[in-house]
This record gives sequence, C-alpha cells and structure tokens, in this order.
Amino acid sequence: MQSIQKNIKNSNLLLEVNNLNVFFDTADGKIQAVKDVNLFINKGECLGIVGESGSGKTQTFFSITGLLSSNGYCNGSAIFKDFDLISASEDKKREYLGKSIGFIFQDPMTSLTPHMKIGEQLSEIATFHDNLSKSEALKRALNVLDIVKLPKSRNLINSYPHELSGGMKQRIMIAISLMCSPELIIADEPTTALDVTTQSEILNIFNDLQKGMGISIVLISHNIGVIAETSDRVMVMKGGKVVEKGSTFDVLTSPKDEYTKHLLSCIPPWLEG
Amino acid sequence: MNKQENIKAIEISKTLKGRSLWVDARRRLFLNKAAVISLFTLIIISIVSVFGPFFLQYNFSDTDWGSIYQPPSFETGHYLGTDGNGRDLLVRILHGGRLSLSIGLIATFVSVFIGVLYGTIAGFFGGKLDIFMMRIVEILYAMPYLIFVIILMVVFGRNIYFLFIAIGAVEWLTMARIVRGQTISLKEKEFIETSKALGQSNTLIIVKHIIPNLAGPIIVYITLMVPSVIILESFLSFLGLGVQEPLTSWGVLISEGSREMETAWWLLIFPGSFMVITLASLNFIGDGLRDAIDPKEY
Amino acid sequence: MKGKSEEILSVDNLKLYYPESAGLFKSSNTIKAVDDVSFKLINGETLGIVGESGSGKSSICRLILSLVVKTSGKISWFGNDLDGYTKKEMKDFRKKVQIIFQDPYGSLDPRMTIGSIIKEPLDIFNGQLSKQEKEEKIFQLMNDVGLSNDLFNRYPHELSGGQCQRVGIARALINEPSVLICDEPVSALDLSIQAQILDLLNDLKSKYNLTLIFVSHDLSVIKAICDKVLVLKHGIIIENRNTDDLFNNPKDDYTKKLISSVPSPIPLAK
Repeated sequence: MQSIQKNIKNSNLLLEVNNLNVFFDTADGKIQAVKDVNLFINKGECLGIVGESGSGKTQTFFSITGLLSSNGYCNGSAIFKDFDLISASEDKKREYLGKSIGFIFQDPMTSLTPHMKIGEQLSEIATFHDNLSKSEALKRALNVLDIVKLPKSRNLINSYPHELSGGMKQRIMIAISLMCSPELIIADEPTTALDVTTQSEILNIFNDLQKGMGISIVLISHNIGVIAETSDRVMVMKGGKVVEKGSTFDVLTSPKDEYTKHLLSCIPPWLEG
Repeated sequence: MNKQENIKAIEISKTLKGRSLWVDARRRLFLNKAAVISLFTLIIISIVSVFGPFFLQYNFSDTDWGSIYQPPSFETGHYLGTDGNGRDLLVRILHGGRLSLSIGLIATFVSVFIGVLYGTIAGFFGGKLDIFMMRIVEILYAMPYLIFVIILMVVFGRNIYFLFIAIGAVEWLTMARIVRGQTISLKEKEFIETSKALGQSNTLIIVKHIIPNLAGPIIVYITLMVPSVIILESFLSFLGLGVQEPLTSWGVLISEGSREMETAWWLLIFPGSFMVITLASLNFIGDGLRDAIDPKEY
Repeated sequence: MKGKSEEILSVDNLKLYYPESAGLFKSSNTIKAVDDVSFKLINGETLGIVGESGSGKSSICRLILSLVVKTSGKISWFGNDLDGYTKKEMKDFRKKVQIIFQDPYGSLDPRMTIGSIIKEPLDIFNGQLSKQEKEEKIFQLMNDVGLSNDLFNRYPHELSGGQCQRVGIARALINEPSVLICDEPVSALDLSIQAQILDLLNDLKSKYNLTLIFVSHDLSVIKAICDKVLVLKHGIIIENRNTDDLFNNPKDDYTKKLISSVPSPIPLAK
C-alpha cells in the first residue's frame, strides 16, 4: 500500500502531512481530536474529506493553517512546498495563510465582517499580502468577481454582507480566497448551509478553479454526493483517525472499511434511476 | 424482562443524576480565585455585622462625653476610636453594616420581583402591551429620582421603610428593561415554540421555561445591583435624607466622617474601608458569576 | 372515527403576508411567505413538503399549529374550520397535532431534565394521572424511541444530537397524537444518525397509526419516505403529486432543476 501511495505522490506534490496529532486542553482533561493522520495533495487535484461530527476532519486542517483555538496544540509535520507549516512561527504562517493557502469556512452568514463593504473586504487581503495600492487591489477584485460568476458591478462592491444572499456571500468568500492567487484552497463544509440549487452552482465554481486554474482543493463535507461530484481522491475519517483512503471511485464503489460501508448504506437511494 | 425487574430497573435509573448547568457553573465559579476570596470576605463581613455587636462591650448608641474623638486604641476597648459623641466607632460600623447590607438585599429583592414580573410580561406578550409598558418605564426613568425621594421624605417623614420604597422604585426600572430584552430573545427559541405547540398556558410557559432560563443574567445583575443600592442609600444618607439617629448606616458614618476628616481621620477611613471592601467583593462575585454562567471558553 | 383514506386536514387558500421593515427612506414591501397555498392531508399518508430557503415550508407548519397568525385562508380539521374553535377545542386540536423541529438542542429547555421534558405534555393534557402512571408512560416512550432509561435525569447538553431528537419525538408522541409534523427533523444530524431517526419515524408511524407531514430541503430523503410531495417555491405550490410520479416525471422546470442539482453519490469512473 505504501509504495502505491508513493507512486501516486509525484513531483507535483503540494502538501504532505505526516503523523499529525491534535490535542485540546479542556475542563475534562486532555482530548485528542486527531490521531496520527497522514495525507498528501498534488497540484491541481481535489481531495475530499468525509466524516461525521467529531471525526477530526476540521481540526486537521485548522491545525495545519494555524487556526486552532488557544487551548489546542499539535505535533507532526505539514510540508507545503518545502516549508513545514506546523513548526513555523506565527508570522511565517500568516505569510502563507491567505496568500498561498485559502480557507473557506462553513457558514457564509458569519464569515464576513458585517460593517465593512464587500469591496473593502476583498481589497484588504491584497493590500496586506501583496502590498497593492487600493486601486490595483480593486482592479484585481473585479477580475476575481468574474471568476466566481458575480456581476462586476459598483453596486456589489459597495454593498454590505447583510444585503447579500447566502449563495452570494459564499461566492464572495471564495473570491476573497482567490485574491492572492492561492495554490491550495481548503473548503470546510462550504455548501452545507446553502440551498441545493445554490450548492450546485458553488460546486461548479470549485470545478472551474481546479480544472481551469489548476488550484488544488481540499473539500471537507459529510455529504457523500458533494464529494463524489468534486473529488479525485477521498479520505474517510472517524474518531480522529483516517479509516480509509483512495481514489473516489474506488472508495465509494468498493469500500473496504466497515465504517465506510456503514456510512454509504445510510444514504437514501439516489434520485435518478 | 418481567414487570418486577422492569420496575426495579426503572428505580435504579431514576437514581442516576444528571449534571445540570448550575453544577457546571458552580464548578467554574469556584475556580475563580477573586470570586472565592470575595465570597469569603462578604460572608465574614455579614456574620461580623450581625453577630459582632453582641461580643463588644460598647453599645452603638451609648454616648460617653469623657471620651469624645478618641483615636483607635487597644487599651480603651475602642478598637477603631470614637466619634464626636463618644460612641464606639467599631460597633457603629457593624450596625451600619447590618443596615446597609439589609437595605441592599431587601431593596434589590423588591426591585427584582417587580422588575422580573413587569419585564417578562412586556417581553413575552409584546405588541401594544409591550410598547405601553415600556413607555411607562421610560417616563419614570426620566423623572429625577432625587426630587422624588426628597418629596417622599418630606411628606412622610424620615421613615426607614420609605427609604426602601424610594430605592426600590428606582432600581426596578433597569431590571425590567434587562428582563424584557432577555425574554424577547428567549421567546424566539424553539423550545418555547414547542411549549406553545403542546398547548401549554402562557403563564406556565413564563414560569416554567422563561424565568428559569433568565435566572443566569438576573443573578449576575443582582450582584451588581446590590452595591448600587448600597451606594444610593449612602448617598441619600450623606445628604441627610437617609436613616435617622441613633440608627446608622455606612453612608451616615461616611458623611459624619468626611466632616471630621482633618482632625479625626479614623471616622472616615474605617467606615469607608468597610464600604469599599464590601462593594469590591460584590463586584468580583458578580464578575465571577457572569463568567461562570455564560462562559466563552478560553 | 377516521376512515382509511379520509381527509383529516384541509388547507385552503392559505396566505401569510407581512410587511418588510421600512427604513427611513424606503417604502415598505410586502413579503409573501405563504401565497395562496391549498392542499389536503389524507389519513395514514406521509406528505412531504420540499422547498429551498424562503419557500414558506416552515411557515406552513407554524400556521397549521396556529403558532403564527395567518393573513387569510382556511384551515380545517375533519371539516371543521379552526377559526371557529373555542379555547377548549383548540387545546384538543393541539393534542392531536404535534411537531418536532430541526435543532435537536434548541427544541429542549436546557434547564430541564429529560424526564421532565417528556412529562410536560402529560401534565398539560393528562394531569389527572398519578405520578406513578406518568412515569410508567415516560419510560415506555423512552423505550419506544430507543432512549436508555438511564437518561431520565440527564440534561440536554449531556446528550448527543440524535438522542435529543429522540427526546423531542418522545415528547411529541406521549399523548398519542394523530398527526406528527416533522420540520427538517434530520437536517442537523450526522448521516448515520439521520438514517436511524428516519427508520425510527417509520416504525413509530405504524406503531402509533400516525399521519406525517415531513418538511425537508433534502430531495433524497423525501423520495425515500413520502407518499405525496408538495414542491414549494416563494410561498407557492409548484407541484402536488405522488412521489413516484414526481421523480419519474417532473413537470415543472423548477422541479427538474431541483432534482438535477442534487449531487450524485455514485462517482464517475476516472
């Protein structure tokens, strides 16, 4: 198994995580949320992470990007293009996060700053990371809005988050993450809070980003359908551990692990045919 | 399982207690050092105020013209000194404590009772009733309470019960506003909707579901209201509108002490210290309770 | 007494309009949450109501239960207009029509134990029962919904989402209602728990002879358990048909779009 994995990893390797453990200090003692997780992502591929609540799927990626809450800590290595994210200092991490690595959170309703206009929120990240002037940042913002299929209108740039629908807000989140041309986007349950028709549109955008722009995507979801339609490879997590991984087709059509089989049996029979 | 075994199993199940949110809150409170120390301090001051005078040789109203304005001394038994009438300061401070603390408690209790009733009704039923009730609150808020108190005192004489009424009449307004706000946000929660869907009467919904869930913010606010009431009473006493001689409160003592500040410093420092320590303790406890009841972890 | 295919609930031209909050310079718009909705509920069936956010599906549930005041229209129970009901008749209606909500924790009072939560409806409608009799009923319901006896004195925050939802179901069924309205009951639950709760609802439906109204945005769940489906969009019924008919032969473009938007869990071979 190991050698086959190594063969799939190639010179296009973007992120390699080894022996990742995440712990939390709580009132009830020390809790281990992520146990010895290994994963890798190549350039231009989409890795799906499937798991239920408590599986550790979100904490795995929070720890890599330095978003763990203050009572959490981790060990292991997460090499992103020759640079270990876990042992890096806060400043170094901040250089990567937002620039080379974008993060999209689950709830678009609360992820945007309520009192800032959309245009400002988009430009902020470019002026911070790439030292662009305000007008240059705005130009880039308009380009990015095009990618996420939002109108390049003055109206939109000047509106506030509460004036937009959930789907539009999520597109803005994706747009913000695209501002500094990231190589990897991590999306944590990006469509869970959205209607099914909006979800379909957002997933199409992710497809375009991956196939059209070559951006690697990590898509975390508990919805098997979402994973099936977007991911090249998939990792199933339970109780902080990876219980199965492989190509999406293999894992979803011929699952080997009992838990994976159980999960797949819980899906209601699909609609067409 | 036959019926007997079933009943036995149920009996055992009933003995297993869950861990209520109060237990969690209590645990968090006791982890807060400042709050625990303050709690002890407050308890000690209360006990000493209530029982202390019985163990001291002097009475709070005994005048002794031979020992006026005496500084604190161990030998004479006037541990904290005497005032202009030769009365022992320590005993008067303890009696003052009894009064200040009981006013704090009773007036707060009265204003909580009125405020909670008023606030939950306005918040729960909403609509025109709410608007009407809150207009009344706003109008009362706008009234200068000091003038109201002076009028009361002048008309009815300086009776300690009117002091309670005057203070209660002012403080319930804030409580009503807070309770109304909390009720409005609670009202939207699904478990309240479920109770309505179950056919529960409005009165019982307020009593069984809304008030117990308000208890957290109300308790916190009470611990912050008590110092405010004590200060209000002290202020009124300072102005000469509070309790009458020979009864005393910390406010009265501080008022007298401030006049003799330059020659008899102990008359201001000691009552002032008791007051400050008590108020600080109440505030720490209030902070601790707020953190314990509504924690934002780490 | 109800016959097998008798119409038990009838909704006619139901409307719920309310004014959007007007700003200082904006004029007030009217939001039509439910716009002239009519349908019938047949005894013993599972009626699905599907729609996206803003479709009005949750509003319909609340209107049926009179938790929200309708703007116009008629709701009839066994042919009797609810508007004409006295307080006592309304209370009786509430006993017969119960609801479970989406948020498993939100629908339980966090300060009450599981036992007292399930007991509350008994106190309201069957207050005359002795403490012993009430407890027997509570434990029997807990058994029926798959909750262990040990949870009797526990609090909602000590239970998992699935367990809390079971408590909600136990509470809804303890007075043996005829209709159970389920407003997105599994949307907030993990996949494996969803399956468990759906199976449970199916079992309880036969055991308690229930008629279900099942509201969801998840088409696959609707297809799996409902006999008839109402498709809602912006407060209007787009389609009202048998489940099989609807999915095999969707007529409206919106329905077709909904169905085609659902991602397939069967991956394409690469």
